[in-house]
Amino acid sequence: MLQFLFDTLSRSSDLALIALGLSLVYGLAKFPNIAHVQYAMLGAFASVVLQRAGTPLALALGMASLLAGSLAVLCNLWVFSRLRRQGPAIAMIGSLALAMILVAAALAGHGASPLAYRLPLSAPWVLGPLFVAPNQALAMGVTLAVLLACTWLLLGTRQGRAMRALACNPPLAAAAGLDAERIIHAVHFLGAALAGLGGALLALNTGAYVNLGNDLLLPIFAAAILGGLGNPLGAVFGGLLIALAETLVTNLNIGWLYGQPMAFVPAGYIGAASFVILLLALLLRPYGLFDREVRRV
Amino acid sequence: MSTLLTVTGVTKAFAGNAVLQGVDFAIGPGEIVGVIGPNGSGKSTLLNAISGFTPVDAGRIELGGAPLQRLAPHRIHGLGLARTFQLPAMPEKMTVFEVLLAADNRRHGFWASLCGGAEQRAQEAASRALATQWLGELLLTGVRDTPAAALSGGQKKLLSVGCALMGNPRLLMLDEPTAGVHPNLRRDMVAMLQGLAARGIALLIVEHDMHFIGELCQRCIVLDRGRVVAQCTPAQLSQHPQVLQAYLGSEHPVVLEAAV
Repeated sequence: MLQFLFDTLSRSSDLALIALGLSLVYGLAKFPNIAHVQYAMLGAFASVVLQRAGTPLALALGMASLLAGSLAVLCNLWVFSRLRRQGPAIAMIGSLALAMILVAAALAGHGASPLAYRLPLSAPWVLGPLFVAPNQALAMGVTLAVLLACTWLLLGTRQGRAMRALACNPPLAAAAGLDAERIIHAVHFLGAALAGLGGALLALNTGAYVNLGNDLLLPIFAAAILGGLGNPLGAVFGGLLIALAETLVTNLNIGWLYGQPMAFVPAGYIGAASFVILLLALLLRPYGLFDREVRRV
Repeated sequence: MSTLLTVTGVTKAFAGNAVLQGVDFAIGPGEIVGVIGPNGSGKSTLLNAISGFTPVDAGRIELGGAPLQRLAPHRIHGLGLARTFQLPAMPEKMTVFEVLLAADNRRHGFWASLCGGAEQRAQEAASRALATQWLGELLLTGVRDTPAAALSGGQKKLLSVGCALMGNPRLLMLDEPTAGVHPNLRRDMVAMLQGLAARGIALLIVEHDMHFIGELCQRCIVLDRGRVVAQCTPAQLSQHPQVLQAYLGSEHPVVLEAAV
């Protein structure tokens, strides 16, 4: 049971940073950026490549994060700042195209084989009934620290307040002296830096591979929608629920259904869990679990 | 009298359709000026042009001698010009107090505000004091910690005026401040706005309610089809032949009598 809880937490820490980034960007730019998960994929590749070339792991993680953020600022400058004027649907389709281009670039640049960090093999720590891989612990620790920093940024600083105010009404914010364009750039940077770091940490377990982003698309969107798109901390909680569902689906012994001592849902169906949750969320709580506002016209 | 805002020959066309055609006027510090005119006469476009949301085709706009016509809205705000919108959409989950704090964007560098420090804390304290002051003057103290989305229409209007005032403007432009506001609150608004003008803040007010204009404004600018057809006191409006021509047969000639 403890192992089950730990696995859930570990998986939700995989999702947390990336989902947080997606929701953050949605809150300001008001379109779901499908290319967001590809920033995670590129962050993973950048980090692994740097680490294999001899960069210390911590530095590789940080640089991957900065690279992903910088790439997102360029994408915003060249693609999204124009497309957003045509409306969210156009921007979303543009982000789909951008996602395909980024995947193709990774495929052309590296190929289809996965690429793992060059780290010494280490035995898992045994803490009572719990098996903890050191990599897992590292990823969870970094994620938690970054989440706390983001919470402080959003809720405790003037910039965070500006971001939350701008999310509602850009003309109003501009009339109050906020430079909307600069804040939107900053948020694209921050969102993608989070995704890049999230991908790089994820690659500690899975390695970097071309479909890393595509595999994240459903769980990340499900988490962000569950938490209420545009509600960054809700997305983290959404990630926890998705992780719970995924871990539950793969750990649940359904042998009794077949009259056998043991039977499990194949791991390949993990994605189905988040898909079902995404569908239910869209049908029942399209504005997220935490939406209690009365919608005034 | 010294002038604060000077608008000279401002022209704007949307897709060949001339909306402003050589608009000229000036406003002095602490003056209260109403902008009236039939629907489609260019009132809102004029506000958008002055505040930088709509780039003008030709003409000059100066605030205290500084040209505004190529600046982005947030830069114009920094020079001391604040405005409100007809339909104030407020952040749903932020409280009234937070919305006011978010509207104070003077002197804050991007990185400086992240780094903190004693100076930052002093500025934050100054913002809080200013926000508290405007909460009191705009009768919003009771809803200080209410989510802004839960306010009534009139309270939202007041909050948007409060947001504009957080920038310490020299000129405040209001777009239909009384639309959908209860008559009692409207009376309070007249007193509040006169109080602002007494402190030297100039007010430029687009408004349809001629009672409100009559009670509040010292001067009216009448727009018709993108031109200034008259500048006079509210009491003189009904005797002005061009004003009558602009209004008669169009929307509501009756309201002019109400203003007298």
